[in-house]
Amino acid sequence: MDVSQYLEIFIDETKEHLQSLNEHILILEKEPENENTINEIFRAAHSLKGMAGTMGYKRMQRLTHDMENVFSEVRAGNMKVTPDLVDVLFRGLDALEAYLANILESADEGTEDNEDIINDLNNILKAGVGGGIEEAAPAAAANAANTAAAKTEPADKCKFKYLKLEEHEKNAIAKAYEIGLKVVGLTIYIQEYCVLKGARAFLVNRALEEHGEIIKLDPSAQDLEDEKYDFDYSAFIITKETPEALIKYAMNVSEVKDVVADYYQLSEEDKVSAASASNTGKGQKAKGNEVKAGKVPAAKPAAKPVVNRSVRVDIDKLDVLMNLVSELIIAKNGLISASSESELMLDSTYHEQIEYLERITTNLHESVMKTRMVPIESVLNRFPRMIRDLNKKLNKNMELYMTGEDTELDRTVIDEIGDPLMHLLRNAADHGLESNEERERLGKNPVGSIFLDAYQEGNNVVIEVRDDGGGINVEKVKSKAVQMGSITQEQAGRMTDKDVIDLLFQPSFSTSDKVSEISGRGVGLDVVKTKVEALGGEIEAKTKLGEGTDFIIRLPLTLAIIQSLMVVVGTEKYALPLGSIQTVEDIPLSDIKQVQGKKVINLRGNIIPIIYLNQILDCEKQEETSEENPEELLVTIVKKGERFAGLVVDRLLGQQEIVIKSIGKYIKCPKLISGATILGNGEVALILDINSLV
Amino acid sequence: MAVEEAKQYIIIKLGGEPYGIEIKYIESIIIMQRITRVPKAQSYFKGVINLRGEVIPVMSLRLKLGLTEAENTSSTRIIILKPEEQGAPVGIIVDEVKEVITLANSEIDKLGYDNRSDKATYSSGIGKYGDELINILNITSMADQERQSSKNA
Repeated sequence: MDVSQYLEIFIDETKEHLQSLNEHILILEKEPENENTINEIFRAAHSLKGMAGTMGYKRMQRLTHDMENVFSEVRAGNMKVTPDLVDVLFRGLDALEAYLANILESADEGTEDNEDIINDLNNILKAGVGGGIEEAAPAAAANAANTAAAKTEPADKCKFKYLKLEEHEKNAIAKAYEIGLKVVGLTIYIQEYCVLKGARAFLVNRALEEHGEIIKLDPSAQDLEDEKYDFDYSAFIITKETPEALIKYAMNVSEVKDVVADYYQLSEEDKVSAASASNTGKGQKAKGNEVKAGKVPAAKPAAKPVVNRSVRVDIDKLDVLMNLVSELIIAKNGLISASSESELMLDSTYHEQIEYLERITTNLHESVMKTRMVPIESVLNRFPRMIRDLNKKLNKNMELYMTGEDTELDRTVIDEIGDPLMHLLRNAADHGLESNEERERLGKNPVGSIFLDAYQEGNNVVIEVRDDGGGINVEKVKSKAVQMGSITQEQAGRMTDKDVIDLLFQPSFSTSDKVSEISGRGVGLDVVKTKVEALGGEIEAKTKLGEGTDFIIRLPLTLAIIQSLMVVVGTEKYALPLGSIQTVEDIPLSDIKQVQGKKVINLRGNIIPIIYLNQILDCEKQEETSEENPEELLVTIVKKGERFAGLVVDRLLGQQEIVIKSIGKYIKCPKLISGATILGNGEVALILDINSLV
Repeated sequence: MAVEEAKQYIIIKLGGEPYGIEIKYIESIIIMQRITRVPKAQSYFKGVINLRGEVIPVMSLRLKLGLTEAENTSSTRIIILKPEEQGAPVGIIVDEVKEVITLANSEIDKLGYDNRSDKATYSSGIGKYGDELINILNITSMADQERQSSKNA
């Protein structure tokens, strides 16, 4: 059977189920009695098993099957959740993830049988459930299922009886009886929580086709495959088999809830045979229920109806859309600059239309951006599990508290931010938090806390990783830095605490005395910093000795299109990202002071260093301005983290929405240029990187 | 005997000297554009231009080959090259674009390996076309070298 078309769905759904299992088993570890959680786990495990089976991943199916067995006993109250059990379950999940990774790579699950996990599961199952109870429970459950099914069953489930047949279908049926074959009508009910309805129907039909010829499907085969049906469908089949046998074949496919079947006769046919057929039908219904009870040992609560009004879109398609929006904005900027150079500017209708266009493109850009936004949850949800494992590995008790999981970020950022965050969390767990004994001695809560908070702040998303551990010992860092030769003793004396903490972000710097499996190899914070900066963000650290450390990551909401302030330096135009600009000031020359050979200004109590952009950028002198010796300097105050700087520019051109373009790999790009953009008149302007300037 | 392999080359001129560029590397030839200077870049890179919405770096072939810079004239052209099929394009400024010629491989003399001067890495051989000797530029090694130098920066 060709299931490749379902592979993508399978992978997505499996990921979701595994994640849900991870989360719920974590909860279960803390609240072993939580019934909802157990139900949720059972449901996820069962769906996983079904899907793996559909796709033909036997090993995966077997492992989930054994896990499901355990859950089912737990749910029936025959077993208690023990730490051992949770450990084995997590090992099972890891194994499932490994299968999934193999499938992702090669569409094959691999050959690892994971016998040890299966054995452990079965041992636990045996130990946890007494023999007598084991037998009684499924029987009781089966009874319950039977009664439940009987109650909910509608008066007549044989929906196929009411179907209208086409003329040619009637002919086919008549012919079948002529040559001694029988026609059986079936109505197949699929479990409500079944996730691959289309594939399921396909499997049922295939099972039926082995024993006859399907002459009619309602809804049509195409609709079934496209999942355009509720949870039941009807089929007519020309066969030699009895309805009972067909029901058995159909029920062999998992996630089939019920099947009713009966011989189908045309109404012109003999009335006696019709009556006898309906008798068999009644007997059949009861039998169907029995089969059902045997197959599915417990009635499942009906899945909550999920209203899912979304589509999965390939990220490449969104990239194309984003590029088109970029082009549109460039074209719009072109229109604006063309109009300002001609008399069209005087035409107010034209001007209005341009403004209208501008509003639309801005909204369009925003909407496209939003479609690319994903809640950061998809990255964060693997961390509780990681902290749990670290708990055991490091033998430290700690808790992870997360807030703001629904904060949204661009998809490209989401894909990249996971590793840096993991680094920071491991750092916090390994270096940040003291050992439990140490904490107790210091009078702290022996259980350490790690906080991960995500929130939006203006045009940035901020992610904080905080711990309530010992904090960074600034003196220790200093002496280590001197010892390693990164700074001299003299420099160390002059450094502020903040400067010292920045040292931590330098390559190969670690203060940990011992290298551990978790972290401390000296590759860490510098990698985090590089990654964050590659995403256009920034990172800083705050620490208080004895109270903890706080790493703050700021990321831009969008990568491709930004608002900028266009400035003129010398004869050239440059773009400054508007997000980092604080104010623009006219500073009298007399206000500029020299401190330690650096030019600074005192702006409302803040000492701000002055950077002459024309010197840094090696600009040619601007052509003679009206004032030979200006008495004032135009200074743009920019902010990076906690630091300010004043950039001296010659002229302001105004605010503009710009599209960031790379300037290619051939040209040696100085760090102070973060990219280029195309202006309305076709000219290229460079974008200054505030991070490297300040 | 098998048909001799021949390739097409575009002949350009720098200071009166002819150079050849294999035609498969050439994306387009455009007239001189307004170039935006990139501060602190390699000295022979004149900056970046906007070609149909793409930002493309442009270098002066004269400076790259160690010649002196010349005034731009009406015949000055920018040739947009694609050193790799999927790679990013790069522009070179030349004095003049002359014509397209076809040279058989036998008409090109390889340079000796002992010649390790800068110019040798940019040249993949000398082509004989009529009375003229044409220096065939090695585009891929030029591009590789650029990538190396910008990475080390």
